[in-house]
Amino acid sequence: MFLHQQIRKPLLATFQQIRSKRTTAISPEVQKLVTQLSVLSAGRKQPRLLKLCNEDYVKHQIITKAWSQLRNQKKKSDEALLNKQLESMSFACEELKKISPELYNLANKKEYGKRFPLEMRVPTEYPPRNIWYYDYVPPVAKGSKK
Amino acid sequence: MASVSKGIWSNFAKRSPSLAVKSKALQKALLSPSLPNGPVSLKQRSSKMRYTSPIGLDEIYPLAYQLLEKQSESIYKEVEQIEKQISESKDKEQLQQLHKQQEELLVQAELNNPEVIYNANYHTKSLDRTQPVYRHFLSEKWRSYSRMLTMQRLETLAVIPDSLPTLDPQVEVNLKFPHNNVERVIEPGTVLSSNVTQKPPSLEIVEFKESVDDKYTVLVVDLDTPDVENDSFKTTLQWGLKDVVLSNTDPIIDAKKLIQNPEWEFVEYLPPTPEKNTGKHRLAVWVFRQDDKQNLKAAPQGLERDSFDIRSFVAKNNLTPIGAHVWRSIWDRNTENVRSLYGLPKGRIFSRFRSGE
Repeated sequence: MFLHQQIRKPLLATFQQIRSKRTTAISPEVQKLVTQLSVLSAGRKQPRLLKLCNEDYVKHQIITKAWSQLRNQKKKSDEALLNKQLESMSFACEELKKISPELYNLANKKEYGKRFPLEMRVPTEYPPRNIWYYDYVPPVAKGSKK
Repeated sequence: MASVSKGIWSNFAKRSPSLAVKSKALQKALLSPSLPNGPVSLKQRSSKMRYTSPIGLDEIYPLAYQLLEKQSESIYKEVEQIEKQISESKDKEQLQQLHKQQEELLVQAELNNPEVIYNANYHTKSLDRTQPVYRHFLSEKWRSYSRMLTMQRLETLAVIPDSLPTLDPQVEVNLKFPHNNVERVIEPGTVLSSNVTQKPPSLEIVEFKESVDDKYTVLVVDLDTPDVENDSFKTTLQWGLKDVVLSNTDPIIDAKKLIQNPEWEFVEYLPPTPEKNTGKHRLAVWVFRQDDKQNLKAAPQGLERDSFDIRSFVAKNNLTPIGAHVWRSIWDRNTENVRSLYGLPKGRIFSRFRSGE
């Protein structure tokens, strides 16, 4: 009888799906924390609400209002600066047009098929930590010959 | 400890004293960087002991206060310029526009004043309604809930369009009945017993614009009086008031004022006494502001209250509604008692089948 079973077992095994052991990257301590948090309701996971007395609540409101107004002022002055820059750029272009139309045409020459270079950095207020990628190699287009 | 304020917000030469917090201890707490006498607004001693202000609040608060105070000062300078223009100009339309601008600027100038904010948040019942800022705060609060609620009740109960075509609410109408000593504002659409409504209600008409001795008309109509002859319903005028003089400082119509000014009441108050099996009656309160503080023309004393045509009345007097309220009444065990109090005949009892048929 035992023999019989042993013979038939591998046959069955071909049809059975065997569940493999889970191989997750989470350590057991972290897993424990995750299960503990999943049991808690959403309300208890939020940081405790600050209980302020009426005077302090009004003071808090005043501070947030002043802060938002400061941010607003800064945003407006930045926008004004950018507009000024754009205006002076267009003014320079106009000057160039008057002085030498050839140079102007050369500067504004439309190059068909040429898009904005993707590798170009977005202009920022401060220089990046890594100033220049000296080892940068531009990706080779598929159809081009070497 | 020195006060945070060094500018316009501590100067009450030109500004109203109602823009300050009345309690000296609270004012000191609001005008100093930290809380010198502890949290004054907390009542319990234990919670006072336990309380600590957020860290760093005392350092930033004076800076924030002075920034906003400076802005307010510049706005007050603009107000001065507008006042100059007002004194010089004589064109009526231009004057109206200038007054509107002035009011908007006055709101902006005081909107960020902590004392004003404190009053508007926590002393709502004793706000000085002559000040544009407080009217602004009250209006914001009204718009956020009560105004919408009133419109919803008027529309779902079909007061609009059964009585008047539509309404653009401009005033808050608070209704109270003096049946007991409990001060309770009636929420629009509530079903009230005939015991509650047996004496005329007191109305508070809260204006959000500047108003000095404006004249108002108030109509209370029952929209569901059965009309057996025409197999339909008709409108009854339950109460009619005209030329009611109200201001921002005293916006209440109550029994005391009605006794002092008997000419206001052109149709006396008749309490709603619905007959049995006629369902819930809708009682609509309509408030109108009369143009240019003039008296109402086509509203004779003792106007016929039966089969009242509210639309033609409004058209004749050239009125536009500015506020409304609604409550409902149904036959109950006290109705006959109220009828006998007012010397009315006994109410009919309606049944599913007409007795005459």
